[in-house]
Amino acid sequence: MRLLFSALLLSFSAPAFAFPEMVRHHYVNCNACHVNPSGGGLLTEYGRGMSGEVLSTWHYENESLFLHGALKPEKLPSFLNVGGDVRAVQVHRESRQVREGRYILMQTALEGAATVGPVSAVASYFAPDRKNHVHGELGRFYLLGNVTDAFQLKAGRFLPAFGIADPHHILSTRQSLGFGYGSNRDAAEAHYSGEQWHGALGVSRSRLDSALRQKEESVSFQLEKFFSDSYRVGVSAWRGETEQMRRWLWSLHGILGFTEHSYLLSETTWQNRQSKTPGSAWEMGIFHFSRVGYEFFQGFHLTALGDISETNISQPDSLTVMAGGGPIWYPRPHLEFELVFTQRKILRQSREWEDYAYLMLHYYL
Amino acid sequence: MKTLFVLSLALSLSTVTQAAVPLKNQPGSGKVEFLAVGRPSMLKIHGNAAGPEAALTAAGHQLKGAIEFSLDKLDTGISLRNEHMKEKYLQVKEHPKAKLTLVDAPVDPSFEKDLSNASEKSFRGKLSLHGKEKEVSGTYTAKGGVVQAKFPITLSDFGIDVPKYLGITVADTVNVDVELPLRKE
Repeated sequence: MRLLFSALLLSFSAPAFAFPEMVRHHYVNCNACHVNPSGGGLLTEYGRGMSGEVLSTWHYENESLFLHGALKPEKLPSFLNVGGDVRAVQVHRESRQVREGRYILMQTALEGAATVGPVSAVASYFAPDRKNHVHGELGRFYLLGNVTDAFQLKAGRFLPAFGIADPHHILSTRQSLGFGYGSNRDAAEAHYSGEQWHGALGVSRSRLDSALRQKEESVSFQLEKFFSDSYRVGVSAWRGETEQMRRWLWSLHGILGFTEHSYLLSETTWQNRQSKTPGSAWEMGIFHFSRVGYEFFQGFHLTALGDISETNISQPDSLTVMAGGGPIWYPRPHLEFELVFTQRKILRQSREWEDYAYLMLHYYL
Repeated sequence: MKTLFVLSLALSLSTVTQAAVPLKNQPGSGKVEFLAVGRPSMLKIHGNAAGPEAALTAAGHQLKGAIEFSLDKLDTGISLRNEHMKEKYLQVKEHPKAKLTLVDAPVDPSFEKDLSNASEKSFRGKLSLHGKEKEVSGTYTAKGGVVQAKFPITLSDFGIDVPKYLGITVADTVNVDVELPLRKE
């Protein structure tokens, strides 16, 4: 049981958040609203403005600013940008054998950026442990150099761009592939964020104390094309190698804003991995999720989610299927609520469906 | 007498071919769209307005006349952005309308029959915007009475300040698309 909740904790803990579905408002590149060109985390001045104007149901003037505007931006040094996130979830799981719930503090990060000329230094601090206690710890940190309006270089500890940077680390395309909680890596990456294309090329190395528990050296590549300014379609590739294994990841994804209210996010990743033990065969796994959403009124969405993964297609019991959905509500800037009900089947554990639901609260400074 | 008859016929046919054909769009039909790009991040700002009013004529292998629309109808999808655009930059209270007067917009000889051109054509016109008039040029197509024109404008040419908001600066060049379903009056 403890193991199960550890897995839940890992699945839910989110080092960053992003709203890729904002592509429906023609935000094709993440760095309009986030300092990080891969999205998530610290907001830009524009991103804060949009969190009130576009994301939330209600807002008053300057409410979306740091500390709800209580601290006027002019009181802060102009080179400094400060933010932070607190994210917590109540999880419920029920099957014939078990009925249980748990509160998990997923994220408690204070994040800041200091910008001098074209270079920004970004770092986040504080993190919860598995007993929901907050302690001091450097999370993501990096130096970001804006070579031109469209070209950026980044070096430090972060997760390189791969697939959709979705904040739902419960998705098989995230945690199952090593892109969830605690997966920040020592990395360097180049980004091109143009009018029609986004591209990223990076090298990285995971750490023994990361969730991956291995030192994986990797090269990653992502290329995305924008269509009609509200459709973003991309491919990603990843080549990783540890002492014990090597793997290739190939991914296709689409972030499609059909209208200003409706959207679809979909990603399929194929993993080929092989143990370095002589004679070992390649194993292929498939990981897929799709989420459709509709914004009924500003800030209130209903979503439906489907997720299916088979970590090794030659072993049928490696199949996990999850389907469900629920509302997401951004009532005011700084606040996000998400309620999700799903049915889930993990063949390795049971052949029966189980209820799996969570209520997530996210507060950002 | 025979020569006189042929001459009269030729003159009357010539008059028929060169007669101006007045064209209008139905009230409320058609649209004007613009695309502006904000940097950094290449943010795409789409604005649109329904119901431009066209008063055109097709005559002498040319499309002539003017198209105008109320700038107050422009919508970018974000209310605060609309407010900034209209009040601070376009200053629509002082300059409520934009007007494109065609200077050189050639049409196919058969245009008057089905309001279509066989291929895309170039055009020139004078755009009156924000109290200034400047020549603009672009391309347009016409098919079954639906005219679609596109042309770039330079904001600074019209005395419009380059829009800036929360760290995003809009490029000086903005692309404009006009769609007009025309019919013969």
